[in-house]
Amino acid sequence: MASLILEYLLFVFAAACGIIQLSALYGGLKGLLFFHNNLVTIIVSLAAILISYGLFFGWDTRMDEYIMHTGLEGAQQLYFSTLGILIAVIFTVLLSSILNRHCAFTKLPTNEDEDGIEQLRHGTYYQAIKRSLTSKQRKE
Amino acid sequence: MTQIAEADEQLLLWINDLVGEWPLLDSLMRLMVNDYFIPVSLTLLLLGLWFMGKNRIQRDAHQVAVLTATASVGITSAVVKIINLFYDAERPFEKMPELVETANRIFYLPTDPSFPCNAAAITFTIAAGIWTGNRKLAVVAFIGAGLMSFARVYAAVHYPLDILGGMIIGLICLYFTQRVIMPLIQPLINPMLEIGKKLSLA
Repeated sequence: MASLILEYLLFVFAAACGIIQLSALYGGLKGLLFFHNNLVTIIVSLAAILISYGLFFGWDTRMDEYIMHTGLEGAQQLYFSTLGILIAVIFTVLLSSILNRHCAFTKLPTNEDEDGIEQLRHGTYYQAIKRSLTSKQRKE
Repeated sequence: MTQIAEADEQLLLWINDLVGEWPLLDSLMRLMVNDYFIPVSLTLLLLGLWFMGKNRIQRDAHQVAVLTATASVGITSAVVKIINLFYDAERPFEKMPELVETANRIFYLPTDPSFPCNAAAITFTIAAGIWTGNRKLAVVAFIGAGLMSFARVYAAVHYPLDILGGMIIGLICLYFTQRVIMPLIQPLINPMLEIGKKLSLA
């Protein structure tokens, strides 16, 4: 059972990373992307999603041993899929902040209308959170 | 009433008769019927919806749709549990033991009541929640919900009317969540979204 939980967590994590990359690309959130080339982002993201699905559902006899039986209970599934997604979001913001720290596009606009996640169109997550904190300090 | 039940059973038997005819269809149904494939895929669609707005207005609409769908899943689960407390309907393979073999070939034998189909209720409420934010993505979600529901009948673990009941409950719960619950919990959601914006995640 422990191995199923770990594999389920890894499956959700990898697929969630792929989904975040694809949706960030579609939504123009450059600060969240791992690659600067759109085609590379699409190929790597689709590969992450398809490989994670393929390995989880197609690997060995998992389908017969666990998936065709209850395996994880509903509450366990909910808990571990939420955890997998949360880890994927944290991994994405950390890695993209490191990879994009010297990129030309990473200049946050001075336009105060662009707050929250919208800032990731022009800067990394690290820059956005830093600005959020410093603007809060300025207001104080 | 008896005629409806008979027609329901006939439709189930007609669909279940396909088991073993095409190995490829059996494999596809085994994938669609399980508790992981479609539910995880729909959760990932909700995650994608959160990030994929082209501008602030669209992104806000998407994020409200994700929150609505999530709240509706909780309400739908509660409604299904309450119905299960008062109405313990037999599964098709319990009523017709000759279906146990085909049910086992595609899925396991669930022990909870047959009506309403929990999987249909949850997946259709998520798909309808996505519809409130992004209709193109919702089409994909509805296809997924439909396939999972069909697979449940294919495996003889639910009657078609269980699916219909689950679907109607899911859609009503979504409508109720959107019209009644969301405006009620708005004072809770706004500060949460503000925190999300401060963290640059909303």
